[in-house]
Amino acid sequence: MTLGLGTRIVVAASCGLLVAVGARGADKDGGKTIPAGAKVYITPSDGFETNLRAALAAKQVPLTVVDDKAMADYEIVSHAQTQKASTAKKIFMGSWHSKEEASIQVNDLKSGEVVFAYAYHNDNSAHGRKSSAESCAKHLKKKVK
Amino acid sequence: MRRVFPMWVVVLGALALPVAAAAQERVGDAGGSAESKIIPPHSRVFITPIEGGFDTYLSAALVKKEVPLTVVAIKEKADFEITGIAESEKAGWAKMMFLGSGQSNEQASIKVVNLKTGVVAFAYAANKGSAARGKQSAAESCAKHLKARMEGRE
Repeated sequence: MTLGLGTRIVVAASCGLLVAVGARGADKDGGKTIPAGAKVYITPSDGFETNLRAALAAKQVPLTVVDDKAMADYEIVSHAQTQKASTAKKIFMGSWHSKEEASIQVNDLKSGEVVFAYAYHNDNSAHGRKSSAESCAKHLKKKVK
Repeated sequence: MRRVFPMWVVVLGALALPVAAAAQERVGDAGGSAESKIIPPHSRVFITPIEGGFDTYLSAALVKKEVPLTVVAIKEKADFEITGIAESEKAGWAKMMFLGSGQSNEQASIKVVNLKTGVVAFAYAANKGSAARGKQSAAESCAKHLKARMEGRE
């Protein structure tokens, strides 16, 4: 059975589209990955570093956290902000949950490049800083290969 | 009677032409030449620490919006530097009561400076009246417009 010219054009265009979409997906993921078992140092950030350390363990991120920056391959710089529910929020919005904001970036200490960055925001966070730290850890885990 | 154009006017005109041309050139250079304002793809940028940790939000936004820049943590390795300010204002009781919104007001502004020439290659200010995602929204707005500028859409 032979395919008509129109059918062949449609099939070729579909294949091309699939290849292009695949390539774009790979690009978005980024070429830079963090090798599993790499040593990371978490820069102190108003106590959020302890939440982050716990989250890396809870989410089983395959990285080794070290206390000495000189021994580390990567550095995690973070910032987190918590805003407790105000009386107005409790009365008018009926929510007791806090508002959480956090962002992290992972710097390669050898090349100086930022290999990963992520921002988190939740208006009604069920577990406060724990939620934001675990979200950061979950997304960081995807980058560790 | 035939009117003769005075010779001194011609001489003065001839002298004034290059002066005018030079002045026009200076006006053109006042904002930096077009080449110096270009941010080439895959340039290395250093984000100066911004109050409230906005620099890390900006770094995350550049990744999320797929801005073709490489963020570095060491200024000496960078081609461009991003500096800025950011301010958040949380929703008051009146906003919650009358508008039913607990979203904050966010303001941020950034500028991208070419470290070799010192020219400000890009500047943008974001104002979000009710930012759905706080600082993240403001940072992503800055990143989106920076990308648009790099791609020549703005």
